[in-house]
Amino acid sequence: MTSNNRQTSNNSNANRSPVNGQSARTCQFKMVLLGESAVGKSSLVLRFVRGQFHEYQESTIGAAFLTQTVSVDDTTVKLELWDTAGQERYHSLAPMYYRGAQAAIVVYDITNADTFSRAKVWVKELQRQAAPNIVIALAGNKADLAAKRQIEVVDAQTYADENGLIFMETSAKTAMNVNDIFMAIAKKLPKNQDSSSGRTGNNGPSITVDRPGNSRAAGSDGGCCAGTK
Amino acid sequence: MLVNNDHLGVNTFVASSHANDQCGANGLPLTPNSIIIIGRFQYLKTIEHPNLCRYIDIRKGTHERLLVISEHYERSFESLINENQLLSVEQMQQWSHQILYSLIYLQEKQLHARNLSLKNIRLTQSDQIVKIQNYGLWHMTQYATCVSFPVGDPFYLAPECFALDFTFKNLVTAGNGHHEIEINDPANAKSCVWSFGIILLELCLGQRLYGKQSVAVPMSTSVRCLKLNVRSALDILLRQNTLDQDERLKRTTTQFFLPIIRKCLNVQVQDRLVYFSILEKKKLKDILMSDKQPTFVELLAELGGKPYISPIPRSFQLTLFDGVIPVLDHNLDLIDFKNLDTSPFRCRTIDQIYYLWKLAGGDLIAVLKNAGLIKISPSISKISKFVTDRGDVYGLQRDVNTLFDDTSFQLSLQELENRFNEMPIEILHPLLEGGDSEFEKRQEELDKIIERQPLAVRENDFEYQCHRLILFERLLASYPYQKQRLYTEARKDIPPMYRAFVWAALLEISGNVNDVYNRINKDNIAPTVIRQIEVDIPRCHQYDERLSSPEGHRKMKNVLKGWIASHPNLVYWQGLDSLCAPFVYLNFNNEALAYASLTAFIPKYLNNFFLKDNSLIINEYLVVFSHLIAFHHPDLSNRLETIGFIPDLYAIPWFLTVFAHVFPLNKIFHLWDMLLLGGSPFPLCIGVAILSQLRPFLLKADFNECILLFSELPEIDIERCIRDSIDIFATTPRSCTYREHASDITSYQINNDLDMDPFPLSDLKSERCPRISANEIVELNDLRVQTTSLKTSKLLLIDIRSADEYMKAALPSSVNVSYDKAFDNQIRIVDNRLQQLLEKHRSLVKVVIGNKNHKQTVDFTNNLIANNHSRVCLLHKGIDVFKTTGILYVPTPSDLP
Repeated sequence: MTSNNRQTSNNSNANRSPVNGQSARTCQFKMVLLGESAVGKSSLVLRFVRGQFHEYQESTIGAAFLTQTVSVDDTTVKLELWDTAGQERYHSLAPMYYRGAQAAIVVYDITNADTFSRAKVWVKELQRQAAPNIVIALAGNKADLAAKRQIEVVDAQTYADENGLIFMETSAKTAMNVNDIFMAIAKKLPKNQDSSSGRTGNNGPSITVDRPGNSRAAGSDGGCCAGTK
Repeated sequence: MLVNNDHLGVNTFVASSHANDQCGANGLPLTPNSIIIIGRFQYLKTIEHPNLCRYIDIRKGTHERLLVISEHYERSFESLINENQLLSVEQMQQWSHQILYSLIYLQEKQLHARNLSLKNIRLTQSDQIVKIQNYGLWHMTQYATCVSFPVGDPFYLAPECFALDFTFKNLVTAGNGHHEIEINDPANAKSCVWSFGIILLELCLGQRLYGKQSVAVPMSTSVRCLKLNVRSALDILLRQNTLDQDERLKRTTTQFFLPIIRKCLNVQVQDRLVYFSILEKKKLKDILMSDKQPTFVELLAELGGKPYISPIPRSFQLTLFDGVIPVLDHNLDLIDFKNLDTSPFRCRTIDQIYYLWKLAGGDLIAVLKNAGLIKISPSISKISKFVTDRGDVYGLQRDVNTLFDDTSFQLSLQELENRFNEMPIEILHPLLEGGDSEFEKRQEELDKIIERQPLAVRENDFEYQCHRLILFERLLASYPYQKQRLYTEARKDIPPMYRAFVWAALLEISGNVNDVYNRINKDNIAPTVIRQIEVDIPRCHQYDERLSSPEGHRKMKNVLKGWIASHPNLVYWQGLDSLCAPFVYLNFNNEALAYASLTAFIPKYLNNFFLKDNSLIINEYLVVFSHLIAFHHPDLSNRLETIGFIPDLYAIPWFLTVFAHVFPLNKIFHLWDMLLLGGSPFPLCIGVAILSQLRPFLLKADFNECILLFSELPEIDIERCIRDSIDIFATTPRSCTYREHASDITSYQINNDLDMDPFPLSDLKSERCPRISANEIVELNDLRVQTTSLKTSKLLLIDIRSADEYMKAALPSSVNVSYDKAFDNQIRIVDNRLQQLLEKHRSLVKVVIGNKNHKQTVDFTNNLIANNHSRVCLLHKGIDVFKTTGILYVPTPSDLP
């Protein structure tokens, strides 16, 4: 159940150039995961980065952070993954995490219709508040529990198409589509220097992090998107 | 002295395992049956009755095997039959009373024994006292739904049990959801009346009713009885077993009991024992205060004879807090009672004895293997014939180990008792009140030897734990009288067995916690909150057996609901579950105390953290934390600030859950043992201690490496962390951890210019070091004493005003280093005197004292930190606060450089 998929993630699909080889360029992107509690955000990240899956993955408080490097064509793409807390109350922290993000995965649980509604709210918020060229993917997680499905693939697909989102049903448990959705985003991300915010990759000090204090001062407690249902 | 070895026993059974890869309604794998059983078992630990064997512990072995440890007695009713004893009416009446009283007690506890048999009715050595065993099997196995064997001896089961078991099991299996949902107990107390009737009959006859016949016989007989529609099965049973003409039926004892037996063996449940004298019933009811289901009360009335009174009050009740009476079951037999002085071992509680047995190297698995209760079959015999791609195996021979064997095997306590007898008096008799000075000296020496040992050694040291158990038992029993001593002792360490109560004492819980808890209306909570709790609990500390059991989930939910419902101004934030878990674990059978502990803990350490909008509180907390990092590890602070690795990114789960989300339970226990003795700033010190442990790595890591490290915190040496936290706590002036939102704010005596008072968060953020209050400077540097000088100082007071201002009025023992001359434009220190002072007084706290130009003061401290000088702080509100105090003096020119 905890097979290491790191290898496959690096070699999957069309990317054949070695990560540490003579890649022409290295780009770094910030990606944020959003969605209702217990839909599997942390599990998706953990599956993608470490190839692991824990049935009883602990809840995330505030946010957690991981990185993974993949190759897309000639480019080494380093993804900074910001995994956020799902509980509505932590919403006030979310802008600090998605600010400056070039990509987002909005996750819902296919066995729970409420989480899909919540996902739509997140998409709307991102479209309004996040960077204008942000790449958004919608992940219908827990596809292994298709027997308990409440959200049909067509419905989610239609919604994704209408909103220009990448869409896949995923399963962090079986690893289905997990690498694929991350790779699909990585491919769609613009690889020119400008779009990756001028970050040069390995040199840590170049990374700037938004001070949460400022972000909170900017918008009052979840004021930008109060409606949840 | 009498050596009485009948005390602890272990038996074992195997829970049924689930088919591979099955998921419950929530998408999570089905909870293993062994875990369900472990959760349900915990309640049995609260069962305490002189005629019931105490349940002490349950352990999980491999492959769903469970080991149950309980009080144990060698002799049973079966022994009587084997010895062909002729029993008197009085003797049997006395035993019957004891059995019935214990059944009434079980009924009050809402338990059904369902498992009465000759074998399960044990006797103490004198044969005077009956001790029923294995009565909890029905309850713990969730009415036999968690095991593949039936519960109850078929020879003693009432006819309805056979019918019921079959339909019930089918129902539960069909329901498929027997994991989180509580199933109702299908058993009927009257089924025990039947078993009781059979037992009486067997005692009268002096033989087993069915002799050596197969188990099919009682079942077919039951069916026959039901078909024949007779009132009592007695005659059929006698005839079937060719006992109807037996001479033994004519004995007086038998003649006396036969009418009662006849009524007990009524085939129809509803008719079983409906006849009784109303008066008698009422009288007994009053005595027993049992007005729920009078099943056994009727029977008692029927039995007549002298009412049974338990010969000695066996348990020693300890009322720690109103409404909380922990089970401290002292294992005293009458003989032991008389021998209290000579038997230090026997007067220990049975839980203590088991605990010490384990410390003395007791190995349950080894005991069971030696006894042949666990058989090891060669691996080749476990190869299946066919395996599906989902991992389900077929064609395996049924493992004999999974068959049920209710034999309990005695744990030998002889060696333990010998060790007790050899133990010096100062270990066995810790004194709470001073007295013999020589004795005290010996005790001190004893403490000294073990003091320096690591916690792990101390917790596993047999003699030390023995000493600590007795000491804490006494301290708790005298609580709150010896409260201070309890604190002093807790500072050394807390014996795990009494942790729940010691914590409650340290949290100063008072009042009737049960009453408070029961009064809370827990049903009025918003569905969104309930949903949140429901998704969080199954992810909270699930490696633990108790907390991952459905019973554990229910308790967590109840306690959280109780807290939410009783704190309308606060809300559930994810993380509260982690905070709740240690308390529920420790007080598993006492939701009220778990609730009370959580409720006392939060205002003490997390005041207002659970407000709907807690951003102010958390922000303030994190800034104070940054200041503390800079105070103790300026180099680390400089590095982390440079790479932008700020506490906001990693420390919110630390502080919001006081590390309960970060560490596993065993580490939380040790951490909180110390935390509870410290004040509200202690979590901050723990945070700094963790950083200091990771310091070498953090100093070289870049941002990504740092944050990756914290996304899965590496192994932290918790003892070192505790030691460091204490050091940090001790070397940080109290006012440096001042927080406007801390709960113990009143202890800072506001309204006084010399003390801390709230100031804007933006100021706090613009500064890199903590502020110190004027009062604390006075206190630490003895400023009120005339002879104060730099030599005797605990603080290095650096007055950064101009020399002119300084010469007018300054604090005694302060040195003047004017701001203008101290640093060059690259923030290097250029003032030689300052450089020398800082070198010379490295370990002192440096207080930067400025005037109204606050920015200057802040810059000065920031510059000191930038130069990696530790323990830098600034005087809150500057030198002006001293104007009216009379402490200021006029320096002489010799005070200037």
